[in-house]
Amino acid sequence: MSKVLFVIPAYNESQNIEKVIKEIKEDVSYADILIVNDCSKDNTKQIVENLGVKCITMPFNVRYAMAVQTGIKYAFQNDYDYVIQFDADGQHIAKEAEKLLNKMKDANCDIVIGSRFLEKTNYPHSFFRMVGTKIFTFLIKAFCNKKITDPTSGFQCLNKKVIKRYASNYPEFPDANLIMEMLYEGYEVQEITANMRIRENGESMHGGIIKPIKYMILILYTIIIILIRNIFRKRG
Amino acid sequence: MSVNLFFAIVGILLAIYIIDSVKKNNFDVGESILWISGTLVIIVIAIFPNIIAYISNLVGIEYAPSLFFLLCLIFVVLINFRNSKKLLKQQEKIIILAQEVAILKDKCKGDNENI
Repeated sequence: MSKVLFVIPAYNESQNIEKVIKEIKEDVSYADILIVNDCSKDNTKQIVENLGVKCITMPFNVRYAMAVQTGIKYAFQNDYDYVIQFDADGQHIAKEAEKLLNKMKDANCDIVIGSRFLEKTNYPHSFFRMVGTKIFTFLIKAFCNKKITDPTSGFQCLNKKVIKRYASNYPEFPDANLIMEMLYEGYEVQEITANMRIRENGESMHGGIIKPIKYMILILYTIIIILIRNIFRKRG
Repeated sequence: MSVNLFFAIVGILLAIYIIDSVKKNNFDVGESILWISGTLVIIVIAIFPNIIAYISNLVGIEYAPSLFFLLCLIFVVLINFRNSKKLLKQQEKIIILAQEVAILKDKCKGDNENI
């Protein structure tokens, strides 16, 4: 039986985390759960520990990406076969993780992305995020010749090879740029339709109008750097 | 002449301050070389101000002191960029340490529970 770890970064998620953990325990009972508590100010840590789930607490707030990487490092050190990147806000559905794992095994790929847009799902996407997703999809298709319909999805399944890569090298803003980087490095990335819920409580890290635009510019800039790096890699 | 003397003294005092800081282990030896070079340039220019006039004439700058300001500005910008790079490198290392600490703390907790 392969070892599967749910890596769930959590920052002030006391309202959602209990439901998320219970759902995983019920629906994917064979998998281990790791909550990376990114120095939450509320009682996220106590809730997780009371539920008897492994909880790693960061000494200070390191933000989403580095919290995810901490979980991946833990998975690498503890020899896990697969990591499921999962959100603590209740957006992701535990049952859907099984689909990702099956796809990973069937298609023999390195990364499986749970996509909201591969087929029509009932997920409501804000206008700005939709435009961003479309641009990223276009860029990946143009430069890597691969159709990824939901490159911004945080619901992903990673195999051992990718766990090792991410444990040593993971960007501060893992998004479409990371997918491009992995495709350039020869990793096989696949997608599968995954239903998702809308966020129930708390605030999204990409809320508002200014934040998504700033984030979009940042990711586009990172993509340009990756493209330049790839040109030099080809030459070198 | 008095201006030249003033700048020469400023340069010498800066050099003394830097060397003293290194001596007291308050400043890194490698790092100090850069700043000492800067003070040496100030001292040399203060003693031989014609150098600036000569170079500005060579590159076609009419007002000689503006060349001095330009060089100072380039020096400061380069040092700032270098510091920014160093700061980011340190930030990266701090995050790696934080991750290691968090994982190790959890491991220690597990080990203690087993005992």
